[in-house]
Amino acid sequence: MGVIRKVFRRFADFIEVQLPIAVFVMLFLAFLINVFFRYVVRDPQNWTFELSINAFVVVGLLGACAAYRMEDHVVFDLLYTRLNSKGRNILRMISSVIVIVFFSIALPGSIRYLVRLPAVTSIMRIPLRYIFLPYPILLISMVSRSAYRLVLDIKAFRNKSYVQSYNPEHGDALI
Amino acid sequence: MSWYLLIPFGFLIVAFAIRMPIGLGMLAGSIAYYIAKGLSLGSLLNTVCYGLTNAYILIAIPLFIFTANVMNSSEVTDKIFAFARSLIGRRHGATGYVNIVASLIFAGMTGSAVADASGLGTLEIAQMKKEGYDMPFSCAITASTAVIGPIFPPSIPFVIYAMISGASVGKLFMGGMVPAIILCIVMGVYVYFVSKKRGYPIGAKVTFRYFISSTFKAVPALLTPAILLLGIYTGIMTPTEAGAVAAAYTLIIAFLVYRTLNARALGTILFNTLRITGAIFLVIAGAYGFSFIVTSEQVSKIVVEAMSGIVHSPWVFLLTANILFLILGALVDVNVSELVFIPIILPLVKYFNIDLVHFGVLICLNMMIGLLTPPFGMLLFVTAGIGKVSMKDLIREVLPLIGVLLVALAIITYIPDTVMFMTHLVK
Repeated sequence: MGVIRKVFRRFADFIEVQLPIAVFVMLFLAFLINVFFRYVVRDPQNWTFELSINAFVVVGLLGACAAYRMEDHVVFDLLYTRLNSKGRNILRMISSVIVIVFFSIALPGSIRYLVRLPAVTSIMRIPLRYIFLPYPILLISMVSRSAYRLVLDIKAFRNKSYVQSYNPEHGDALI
Repeated sequence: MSWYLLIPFGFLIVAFAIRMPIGLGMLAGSIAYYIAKGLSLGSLLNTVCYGLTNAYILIAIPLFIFTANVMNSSEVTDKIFAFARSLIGRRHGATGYVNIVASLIFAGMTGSAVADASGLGTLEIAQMKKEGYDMPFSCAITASTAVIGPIFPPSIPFVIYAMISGASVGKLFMGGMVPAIILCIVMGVYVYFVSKKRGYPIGAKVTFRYFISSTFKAVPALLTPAILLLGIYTGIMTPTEAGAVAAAYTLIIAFLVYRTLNARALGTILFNTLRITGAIFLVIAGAYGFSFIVTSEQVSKIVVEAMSGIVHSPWVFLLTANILFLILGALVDVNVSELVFIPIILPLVKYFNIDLVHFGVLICLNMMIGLLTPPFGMLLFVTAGIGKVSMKDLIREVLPLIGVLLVALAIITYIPDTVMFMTHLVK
């Protein structure tokens, strides 16, 4: 594996897997602290509630990147499975192009909105731009992964093998 | 309503046609709609992210998924299966009944039909094969009993429905209990007749010693649904808090009581929880974009006006909704059905004065039955994969079971007290 590829992999691993898992564990612990303080100590803590709801946004959006990486997303493949490998190859390319075009268009406006977002959370005073940051990350992740897959699919189309050469179960296909 | 509405729905259809992830198709459709209408794309971020921060109840979803993954990875299912066997004892087709009872118990710990079919199902199908049951029946009964998973509390589809409709999750959870028992009864009757007709094996003799031993081993696992249900029923905990406590309790028993989990397995469980949560979450994020569009285009108002002119009675409406969601369940993923179509017909539910909890339970049951029907019969794919049977044989075997489940659906639809009775007990 090339150095650049290795760096990308490590970065993607951190953003799409390690970070959201760490945030999920934090969410879980915050919930337990919340329950403990409310029912045992009888001193409800609002910060735990705020932390868990905001952590949930991060887990969900970054988790969606991990799911796309592993091809776990909900798809309807009735037509796809009836096509030959060339037809499948074409459908995969169309799907990637749609994601690249529309998510790229959405990216600048989303970043501008975040940069100008002045709101902070009510208790912990965390700027919402940090909590909503996974949204543009999701757009970037989807666009870059789709572009990578599009390149592989174009290669497969050109050399007439038409097969999907990226396999989410194998590490080397993940960028 | 303007022609712009065609854009997001056009994208959704394209996503279906080209095997694009549905959530991505919904988001791309929303982006295209915003561009066409000249709206700021930053406001789409606003709609999605603020929507998510206001959906406190949805936090229960990763917690339930986590609990289900811990259960499936820590051999808790073995204890449940052994306990269910000791309850059924010597009967023709005993393992068929065991399948039903074990699924009901497992349903009280997780909120997912697929988790039931893939986790407990592996054990059930292997045991049935060992005892000489034919494989298509074994897979069909395993897939059908997994339907109980999201009907008996806790339930991921109920949580999503509560978020969409504003119905109480606690009441939905309680409302699902009697319907789950009805499902068990109708499937039990089916197993009785089929076992007699085909001469399925008689269950092993259960000694008093075995019964005590299996019960004792199962008690820590059986306390999970007790914690969940008592916590919600007494009003001590919200369903989300109960989800967190149940997840913590499951971890404790897996690590300390059964000692079947290690740190490495926990890492895999967390990763799988993230993957499943992310897959559901993208559809939810896309649905927030869609719901903004549906609201601003006043689709619901038009649907209510059109439908109220055609359908005049709540009974006919319920029948129509049942048929619609059965078809949707057979074609579309549960989350897509819920998040896209329920908001559109929800005003009709209110127009016909149908209780939101009753409607939620029967719509979820519809969608779960849809999981048994091709082409999107996820439970069929899972169990066919485990039992290595052809889809043709499995479908032939599952059809009568679908018929039996439809009988239960009719009972639950037209006798609302089957759902509402328990909801009155929630504090």
